[in-house]
Amino acid sequence: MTAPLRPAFHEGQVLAAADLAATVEHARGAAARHAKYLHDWGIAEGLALTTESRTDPATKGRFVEVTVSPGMAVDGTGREIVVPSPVVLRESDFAEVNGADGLPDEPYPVFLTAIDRSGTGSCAANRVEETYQVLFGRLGDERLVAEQQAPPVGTPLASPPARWLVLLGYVQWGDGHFMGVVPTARKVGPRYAGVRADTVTARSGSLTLRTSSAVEGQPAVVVSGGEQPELVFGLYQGGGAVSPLMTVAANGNLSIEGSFSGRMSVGSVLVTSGIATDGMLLPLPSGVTREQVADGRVVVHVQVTPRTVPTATAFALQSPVDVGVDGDGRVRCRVRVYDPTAAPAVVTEQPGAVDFLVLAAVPATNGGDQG
Amino acid sequence: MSLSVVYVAETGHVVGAVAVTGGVAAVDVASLAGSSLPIRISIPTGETAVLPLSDRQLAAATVDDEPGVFDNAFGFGVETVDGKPKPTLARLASWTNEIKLDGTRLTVTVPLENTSRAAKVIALVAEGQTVHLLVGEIPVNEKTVSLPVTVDTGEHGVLVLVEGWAGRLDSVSRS
Repeated sequence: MTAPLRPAFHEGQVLAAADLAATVEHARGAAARHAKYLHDWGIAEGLALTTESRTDPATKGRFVEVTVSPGMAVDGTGREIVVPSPVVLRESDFAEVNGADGLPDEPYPVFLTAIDRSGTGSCAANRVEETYQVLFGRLGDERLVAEQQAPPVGTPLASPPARWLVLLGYVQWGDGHFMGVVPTARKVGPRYAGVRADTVTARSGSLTLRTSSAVEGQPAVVVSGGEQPELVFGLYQGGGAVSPLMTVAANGNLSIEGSFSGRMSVGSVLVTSGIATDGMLLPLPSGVTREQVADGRVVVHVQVTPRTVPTATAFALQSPVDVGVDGDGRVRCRVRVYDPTAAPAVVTEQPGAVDFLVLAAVPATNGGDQG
Repeated sequence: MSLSVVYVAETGHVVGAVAVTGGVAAVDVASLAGSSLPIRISIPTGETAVLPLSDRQLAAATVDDEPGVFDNAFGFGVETVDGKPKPTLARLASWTNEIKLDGTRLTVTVPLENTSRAAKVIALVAEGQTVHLLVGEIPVNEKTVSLPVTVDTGEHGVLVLVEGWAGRLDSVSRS
């Protein structure tokens, strides 16, 4: 392999076809290297599988017509695959690969690949159409996508193009027709184009990451500079605005709209209190788990006080029989009541309730963040 | 306060409650009661009978504030509509009829017949470390049910839950 050769011309030169072809190839090679090394291959735009309901005139059975929407992908060789208009999938093409009796409801992969085709019309001999082909796979063929190996650095674009499969989704088959589409099966779905960069710089002073194309309510991250630099995570609101859920200011201050959970810093104490009946597990302060208590990362201090029980008369005596908390944090509280004025005067026992106070603290020797 | 209760799904009886100050109590049985909720009562022999209700028998709900549930949880029930618990606890009628335990059966009699539908009954009878789970119902227009159980002579911790009536936790002597 050699370095890219750029054609050079001089006055009076007789141009051969090879000279002109080299001009084109130099540009194609540069574009392919950019696509391959500055981007991750995948679908860049469109190419979704869509359906429309249909009725079989012979059987009156319902099925769907499957269409690939217009779009563009870049394959692993750096070649663009452009689908300029909607493509209706042919059931005969599916049957050629999988037979007319495909397994009902099983998702069969649909791929897109690049092909070259001789031009048509008066310029047929002088043009190559860089077009595409839709291929059906057999069950499990989607794993082939991950097994594809990009050509080594410096490899020129092959002509005709090397086959590179871009997964578009899956079709389901039944009664000789397509019955539906699914985007993902067996944990494999379409792969979308990405960016390879160690540094991303915004010219406007604000850099935004979104999980979808400007859909309100979807998460977004904004890094902004200027007089008040900050990092914001929030929900996209349209028009470029993001409603902040978490903000980190330039001085390190963190602001959040929701509650905070995570590792407690050494020395911090969280508190909860309330009332619980006999047998119930005492609640722990928000952010503290029973696993943290069990393995000693968090120490829990508990105070329980038995509550008095309403009695039929003011003369009744009551006494807690058993008040405490088990090792697993379960409340023990039973109360005996004796009413000497009742006939007959008997002692009764019933489950009671306690007022509780739970303090959770992180000892310095057992983990937690130094804060 | 946020009030969460654990109740017996079959009969609706509240068997435990937790209220948290200024927060939200858990609403799942595992967090509130673990794998089982122990109901305990002393019996005259000096022992403590433990009657565990399995988490499979229990459900949990967040309900409107009801201070009385901490005085007598068994006196309240959770009613459901389309399988979802109502936010307000129902106060259940108390009863004092004798719970009879002979050698072969536990007999429960409530004060009034059920006129609309049969009342489901769940009872737990402790015999040492063994706990007998009894399930039945009081038919329409009747007020008594006898549930088969074989226990030795002596005192037994008994929990009786009759649908529509307050739960009873007693020490019962086998006659």
